[in-house]
Amino acid sequence: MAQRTLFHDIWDFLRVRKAWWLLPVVIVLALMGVLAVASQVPYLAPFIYALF
Amino acid sequence: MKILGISCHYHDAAATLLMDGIVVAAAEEERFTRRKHDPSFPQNAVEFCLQQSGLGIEDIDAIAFYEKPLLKFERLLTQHVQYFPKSYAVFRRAIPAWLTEKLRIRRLFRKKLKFKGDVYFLEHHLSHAAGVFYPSPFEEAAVLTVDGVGEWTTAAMGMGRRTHLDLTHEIRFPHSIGLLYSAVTAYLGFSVNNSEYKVMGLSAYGNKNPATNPYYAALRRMIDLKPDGSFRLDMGFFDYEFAERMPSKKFCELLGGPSREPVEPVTARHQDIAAAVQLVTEEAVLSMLRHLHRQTNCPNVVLSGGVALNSVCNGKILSETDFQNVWIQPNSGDGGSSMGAALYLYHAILGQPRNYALRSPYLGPGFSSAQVESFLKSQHITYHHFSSQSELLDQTAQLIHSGKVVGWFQGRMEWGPRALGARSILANPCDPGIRDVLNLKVKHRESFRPFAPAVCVEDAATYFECDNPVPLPADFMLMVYPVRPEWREKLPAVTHVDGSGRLQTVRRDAHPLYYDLIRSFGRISGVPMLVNTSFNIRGEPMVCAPDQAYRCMMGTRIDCLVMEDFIIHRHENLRDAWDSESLAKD
Amino acid sequence: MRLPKPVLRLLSFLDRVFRILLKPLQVVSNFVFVTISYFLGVGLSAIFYRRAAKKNPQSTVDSYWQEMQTTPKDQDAWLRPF
Repeated sequence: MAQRTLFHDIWDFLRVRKAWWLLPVVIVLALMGVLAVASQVPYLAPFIYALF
Repeated sequence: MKILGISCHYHDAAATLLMDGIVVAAAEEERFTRRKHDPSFPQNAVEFCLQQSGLGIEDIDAIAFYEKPLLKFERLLTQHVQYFPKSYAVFRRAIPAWLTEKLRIRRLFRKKLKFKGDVYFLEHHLSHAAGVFYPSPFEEAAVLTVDGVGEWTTAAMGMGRRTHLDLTHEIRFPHSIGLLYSAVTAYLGFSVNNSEYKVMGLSAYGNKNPATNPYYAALRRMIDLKPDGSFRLDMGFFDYEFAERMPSKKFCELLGGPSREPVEPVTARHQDIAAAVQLVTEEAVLSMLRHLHRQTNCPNVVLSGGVALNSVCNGKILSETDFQNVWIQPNSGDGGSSMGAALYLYHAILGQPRNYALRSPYLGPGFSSAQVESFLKSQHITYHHFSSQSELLDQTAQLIHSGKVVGWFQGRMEWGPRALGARSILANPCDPGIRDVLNLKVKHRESFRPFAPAVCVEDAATYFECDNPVPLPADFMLMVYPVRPEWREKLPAVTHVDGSGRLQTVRRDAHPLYYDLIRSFGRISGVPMLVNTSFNIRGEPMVCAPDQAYRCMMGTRIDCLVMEDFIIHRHENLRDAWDSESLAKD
Repeated sequence: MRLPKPVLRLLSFLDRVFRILLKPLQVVSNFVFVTISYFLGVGLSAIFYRRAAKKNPQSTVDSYWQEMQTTPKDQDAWLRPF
C-alpha cells in the first residue's frame, strides 16, 4: 500500500465519519501544529486517563 | 510470518513478537525504563523481542498497533468541544503530545524502528478481545471486555469462533465501569490508573452487605444499571470528561465529604466506600456475563480489559453465572493488547489457523547462569554456587522456613503485572510476623494489603474453596477464593481479613523449579505453600535484570537472593546496603 | 556533499546555542498557539456541535448496549488509523 500521509488520514477520517463539525478545530490545529509544536513534548503522566 | 504487536501512548506500553502464530517474546516497557506504567514508545521492549528471536526489524512482515489513534483523537476533541470553554486547561496540556507523536504512529515506526512495512490499526477493545480469545484454550468462547475507555468503547461483548472474532455490542464513553472504579480510587486518595487494586484490597474490610452499606445506595444513584448489565452513569457526579479530577462536587457531597488526602488515615468510612464500589462493579460485570451467556449459550467465556484484573470479581464468575469455563490472559490490561493486536492480524485478517495457547506467562527476558555469574564477579559480590538443583531448592526452602525473606529470580520474566515465580519475593505463609516484615520493611506499603499464596495446582482445593477443577486464570493470580476455614489461622500471612486469598496455582510444566521449591518447602513445613509477592520496591516496576534484583535486595530487608544457580546473602554483602524507604511511592 | 569538519562543528555549536535560546521562546509560542487553537478551533466547532446535538435528543431505553461492527467491509480499513 502506498504511504499515506497524516493529512490524507485526517481528510478521510472526516469524510468517512462525517464529523464535519470537527473541521474548524482540525484546521486550526493543523495550522498551529505546523507552526508550534516542532519541539519534543514530554509525556504527561496520564493520571486522568480519559483526557489524554 | 513475523508480526510485531505494539501498545503505547496511554499506559503500560508493551511489545509482543509473534512468529507463525506463536508468541515468542513479550514485555512491557516499564521493566526496561524502570518507570512504572511507562506509556512511552516501547523501544526497549521491541529491541528485546527482536534480540530474543535473533531477528532484525527488516525481518518483520507487519506491525499491528493496538488502537485507532484518530478515533481516540475524535473522542478527545469531542469532549473539548462539548465542554468548551471549561476544558481549556486540559486541552493545553494534552494536545501537543497528540500533534507530535500520538497521531503520527506510522512516522514513529519509520523513525524509531526504521520499519518500512505495513502498519495495521485495530480498535482498542478488539485488541483486548483478541488478546484473550486467541491465546485461550477454547475453540469457541463468549468474549467480554471491560476497561476505562478505548477509542469510544468502554465495554464490549461478542463471540470468538476458531479464527473469527466479532464484537457485537458495546457501551460507549463517558459511561464506564472502569472509570467509575477509578473515580472512587481517586476519591479514596489513591492514584488513578495505578492503585485500583488497593481499593479492591481495602474493600474486604468494609461492609459488603448492599442492604446496610449506605455508600452502596449512594453509588447506585450514580449508575443506572439494567438487568442485562448495560449501564449509564449520571455524569453530574463525574468531572473526568473535561477536568483533571474524576469525582465532581456532587459526588463528594453524596459520599459525605471531600476526597481523602493521601496522607490521611484510612477509616471505616473509606473501607465501606471501597466495599460499595466493589459491590457495584461485581453486580455490573456479573450481570453482563449472565446476559452474554443468554445471548451466546456458550459454556466458555474469556474476559479482558483492566477490569478483568479485578480478581475478587473473577473468583465469582463460575459460581454466579452459567459459564462453565473461564480464561483471562495474565496481562489483560493495555499491555496485553499488543499481543491481541498481533494475534488478530495473524488469524482474523490474514486468515491463518490457530496453533497457540498461552500456558506459560514467562515471555520476558531471561539470564543464563553464566550471565548472572559474570555480573556477580564483576561487582565483587559474595555468592554461593549450587551445581545441583535439589541442593539449591533444599537450601532455599530451609531459608524460607527459618523466617527469611527470599528474592527469587529464575528464568524468563513474567508477562503482566503479577509476579508468578520468575521475579518474586517468597516467604513462609505460616509465619504470623512475616506480613508485617514484608509490608513495613521490604515493600514499604500499606498494612491493609494482603499477600498472595502460591500452591501447587493439585493442592489448591485442600486450602481454598475454589471452583473444581481450578480455572486456568488462577495460574496467573487472577482469581480470589475463600481460604478453607480450618486453614485460616494456620496461614496468617496470606489470609485476607475477609478470609479470602488471591492464590496462584503452579503447574510443574510451566515452571518446574518453582513448583519443586513449593514441594521442598512443603516437606519441611508440612504446608506446601509460599507467600509470593512481586520483586520490587513500592513505586518501582518489578525487577527485570540481575543488577536490579541485587540492588532491590540490598535496599530492602530481603535476606537473600536466589538467582539462577546462585544464592547471595544480604549480610555477606553489607557494603552495598542502602535504604529504599525514601524511594517508596505509589 | 560533505561539509568540512570545522564547519560541521560550528553548525553544531550554533544549533546548540539556538536550542538553548529558543527553548523559552518555544514554550511561550506553544502556549500562544495552543491557546489560539482552543478558542478559535474548539470554539467554532462547539457552535456547530451544539447545533447538531439539538437535533438528536436522547430517548429512554431498556438497554444501553449499542450495536457495534468490528469487521469492516473493506480490507484497507485495517491500515487506517480510524
